[in-house]
Amino acid sequence: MAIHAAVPEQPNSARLVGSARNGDPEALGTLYDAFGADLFRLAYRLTGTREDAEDVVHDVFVGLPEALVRYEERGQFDAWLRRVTARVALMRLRGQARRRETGFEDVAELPARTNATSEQVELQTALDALPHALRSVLVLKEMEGYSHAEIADLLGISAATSRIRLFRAIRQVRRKLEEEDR
Amino acid sequence: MITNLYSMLKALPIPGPGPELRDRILGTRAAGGRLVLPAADPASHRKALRYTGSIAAAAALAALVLARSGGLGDPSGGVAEFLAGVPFWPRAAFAQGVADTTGRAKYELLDKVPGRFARGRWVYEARLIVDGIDTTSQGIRTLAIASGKEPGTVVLSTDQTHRFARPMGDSLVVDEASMQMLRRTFYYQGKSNTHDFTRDTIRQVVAWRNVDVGWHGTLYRALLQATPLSKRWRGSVYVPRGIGKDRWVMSPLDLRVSGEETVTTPAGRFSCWIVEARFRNRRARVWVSQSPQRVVKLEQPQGEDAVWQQVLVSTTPPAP
Repeated sequence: MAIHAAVPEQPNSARLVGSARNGDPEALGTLYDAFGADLFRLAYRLTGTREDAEDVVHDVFVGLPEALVRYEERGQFDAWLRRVTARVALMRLRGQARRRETGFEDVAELPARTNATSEQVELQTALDALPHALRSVLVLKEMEGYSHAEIADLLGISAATSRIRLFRAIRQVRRKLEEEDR
Repeated sequence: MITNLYSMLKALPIPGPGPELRDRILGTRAAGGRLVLPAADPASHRKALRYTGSIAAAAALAALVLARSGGLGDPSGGVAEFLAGVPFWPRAAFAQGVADTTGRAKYELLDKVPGRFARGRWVYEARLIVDGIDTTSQGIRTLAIASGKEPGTVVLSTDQTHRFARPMGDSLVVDEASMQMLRRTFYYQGKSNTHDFTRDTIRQVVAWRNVDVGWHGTLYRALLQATPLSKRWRGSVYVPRGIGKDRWVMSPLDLRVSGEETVTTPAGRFSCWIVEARFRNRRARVWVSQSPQRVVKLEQPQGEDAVWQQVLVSTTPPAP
């Protein structure tokens, strides 16, 4: 007997996107299954905490049906979705910079980093110590593979500023790591 | 020393999203939750912002009309403000070392809390007002003060709820005679964390110096209720301020009564002291009713275009 494996619907298919645009929860769930983990990773790298990353992904998918009305189906759907996620994460960081006044997360997040090597812990600590403006550029360029032009668009800065921030971010991380080595 | 920084950056471990996130998203949608996301590209983002601004203005106008006609029920929505309301957070109790003092206190130092904590329950609604437009509700904050199970103790508890945010709360058990903090428990994301104090340091006393300077916080409300105010009341306190992981500096928090005003909130009409607070470059204004002395409203500017506001919507007086 021939076994026909169920072929999952392509997440970027026009039909699925159309269904999600109409608020179909099943389509939204399918999109989450396809892209949720990847978007969470991007959000986590940008925000630095699991709670914030989950909130970013939550907000993205809650707002996705309405946002899809603006999606013009040019280019890759996943790239569009990642840009939206990056924007939501960056907005959240900016909002926190204006409004956050307590160190709640500093304590709440401590137990989360397990199974990491000492080098990774050092590097993560150095990364966490960066100001958001520098960290965002470093994450987007070196960890997420965006170009300086794309980062400039996302952050509302010039490509030259993006390059400068990357240089400063790398320098600060290296200095921090050197301090740890002493 | 890490030699290959770039490959190490890419290899940093990342946790996965919680298994409940998918259900949470679908649950929010099913409950009618909607959010306006930024556009992926800047040009349409600007266009969307214009549309969003127009929609927000129209919505505010409609809400105003509805509210005046009595047709608006429970306004809510918007992006969750998780941290706007982090409750007690006696930072010094958790500090591992205070490194330095920055700035100089402007007024006489507040040493201790002069009065007792009044029992009761106070509910506040938070709003963010942007460009003069009163946006949707940013959630509810509650402060409750009750006698503890152990004789001579008082329990200060607080929680915050928001349609899109996980509930969080906090409670602090205090020996009322000495103001020693005995136990603090907070919960967030379904988890709770309890800390028992050991009474071995003055940093574990409820006092103005341990107030959470997050003005959306809670402990200062209890302290303002227990500190008699007057027309010329002034006071400063040095508050620990986190500047990095396990690094703290002391910065002055200056408070003064700047005037009197009658304030109307959903909880009633109150003759209030206006207390101006200044912490570094941040300022806040708190309206404290004169008799009995209760916080009924607070405002903190958020940048140039927004004001964070909380108003008292209901109060439960102590049992006679």
